[in-house]
Amino acid sequence: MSADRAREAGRHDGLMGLPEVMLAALEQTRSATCITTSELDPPGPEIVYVNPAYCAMTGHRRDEVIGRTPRIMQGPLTDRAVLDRLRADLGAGRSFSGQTVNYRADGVPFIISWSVDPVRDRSGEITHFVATQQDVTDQVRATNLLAAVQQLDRTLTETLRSAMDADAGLAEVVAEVAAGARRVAAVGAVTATVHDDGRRVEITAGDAEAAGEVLELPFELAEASVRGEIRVSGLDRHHEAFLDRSGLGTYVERAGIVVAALLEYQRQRDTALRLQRDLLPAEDLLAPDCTVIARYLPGTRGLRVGGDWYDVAVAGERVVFSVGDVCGSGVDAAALMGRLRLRASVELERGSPIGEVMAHLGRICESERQLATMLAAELDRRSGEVRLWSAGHLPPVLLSAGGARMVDLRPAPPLGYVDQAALVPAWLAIEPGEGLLLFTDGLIERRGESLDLGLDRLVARVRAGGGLDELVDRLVAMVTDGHDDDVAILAFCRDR
Amino acid sequence: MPAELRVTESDDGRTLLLAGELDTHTAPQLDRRLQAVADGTDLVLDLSETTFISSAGLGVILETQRRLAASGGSLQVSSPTPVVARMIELSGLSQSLGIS
Repeated sequence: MSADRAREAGRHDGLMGLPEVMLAALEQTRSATCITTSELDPPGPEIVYVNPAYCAMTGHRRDEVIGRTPRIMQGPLTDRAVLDRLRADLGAGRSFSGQTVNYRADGVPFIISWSVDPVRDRSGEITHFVATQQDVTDQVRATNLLAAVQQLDRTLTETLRSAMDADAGLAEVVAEVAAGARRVAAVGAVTATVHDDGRRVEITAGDAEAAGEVLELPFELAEASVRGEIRVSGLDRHHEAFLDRSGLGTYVERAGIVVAALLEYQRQRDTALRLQRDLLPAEDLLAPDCTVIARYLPGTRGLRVGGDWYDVAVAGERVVFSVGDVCGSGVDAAALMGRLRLRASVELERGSPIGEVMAHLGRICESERQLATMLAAELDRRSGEVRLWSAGHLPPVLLSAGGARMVDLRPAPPLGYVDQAALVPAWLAIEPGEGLLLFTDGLIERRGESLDLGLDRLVARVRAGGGLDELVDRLVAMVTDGHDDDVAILAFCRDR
Repeated sequence: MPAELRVTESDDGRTLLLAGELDTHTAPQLDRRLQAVADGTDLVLDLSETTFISSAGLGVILETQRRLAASGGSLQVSSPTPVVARMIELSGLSQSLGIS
């Protein structure tokens, strides 16, 4: 065959000169490759070839492993179940792929992802196995760490949004810290502990009884009064060598931030709630010739505390009942609420006209770049005449034996809105025994539902009858199951 | 399930379509998006796909209206769903937000 014809043939079948290229490729690929005999019974297959990438990954020289079994790579942390599956697949002539812990020549464990395929001769007989392996330690650890951190963040968010009390919320987050650290450590058991002002929460993930070495990592918490730590226990020397200390360090740092965020949030909620309670008048309000009942219910989810108010101001024959709601929540909303309520109370008791007082409150809101809604009902207690002013607030319900109903009221924009128009009051007359129910939107607002449905439901509840006490209790019962927003209720009726 | 809100900008950048629920949970997201609207813009919020709006959501819209008006621009809402229109009406804002 001439050289030209040989080249021609090579182009057609593509195999000319390939054995040499295949060997060079095997030698130079970065995939660690190992070829063994096909003997599966003890003493097991023999290594007949490993490439330089394999030597670099395992730390073994080629002449150390040729003729030996690949089992020299295995050790105490190697997953027996994966090896059993390997054997079953190869025994059945199937390909295998899996992941487990292997050991370098110097004893350092690492995670390999590998696949083994049977090599058959022309007659279909399996003569060898070829395995390609990759060190995936870094990827597996990074994936575990990322998943653990993401789950912890999710748990924090869910806890903040939920209606859990402070202790239950902390327990939830600490449990996730333990579970996440266990995931990152990949071995042993993990106990997470948090101390906070006399509270101590400790939760273990994994087998707490496991004997062995203990590794302690303290939390770095922003708040000085909070201490925490995670303890990884049940470690034998193999585990210790395999522990992802750097990943654990990163996770624990993150856990510290998350726990600190939760506690800071719980403190803010406490502060806002205390401030809110301090700035509201007591619930046993008094007004001449009237029965009055008021309630404040903080939102049970998240930071929805603060901003709603109720009040009664008496100036001679006039009694002014009011409720209001500063948009937003937390300490700032509670503080502004206190300012508005106090201002209104002082001015109303001095006899200032309501329109003027509300315009004044509007200017305060505007200068604070805040919005608030407010409903004021001024009762002339001799005539029973009521005048109503609404700045973006929901209308009141008329409490009457003849049938409760929403009062038809066209509100002006909220306090603090740029173009504050002059407030025009609505008129109404109530007989002795009749009254009004004033409330904030937290009482009826349900997500994804029209306000009218909420208003209708409220009126239906009111129509169920009974005394003022009974009515308010029924309304409170309506909102106690996991409401988001805070609620203020003020109900009054004319005694005579 | 937490509320979801999708904000889509029109080609000319002057109209934002708000699809979903605008409540306590999604208001901060809208707030961040509206802060990116330049001063002096004449902005329209298309509420035709807004299924719910809470006072927190209205607060964000009014704050943006205040900022745009102060810088020579404006904010109006268009095509609110009946539920949302009623909420705006009960807040005394129908006229102010350009809904007749």
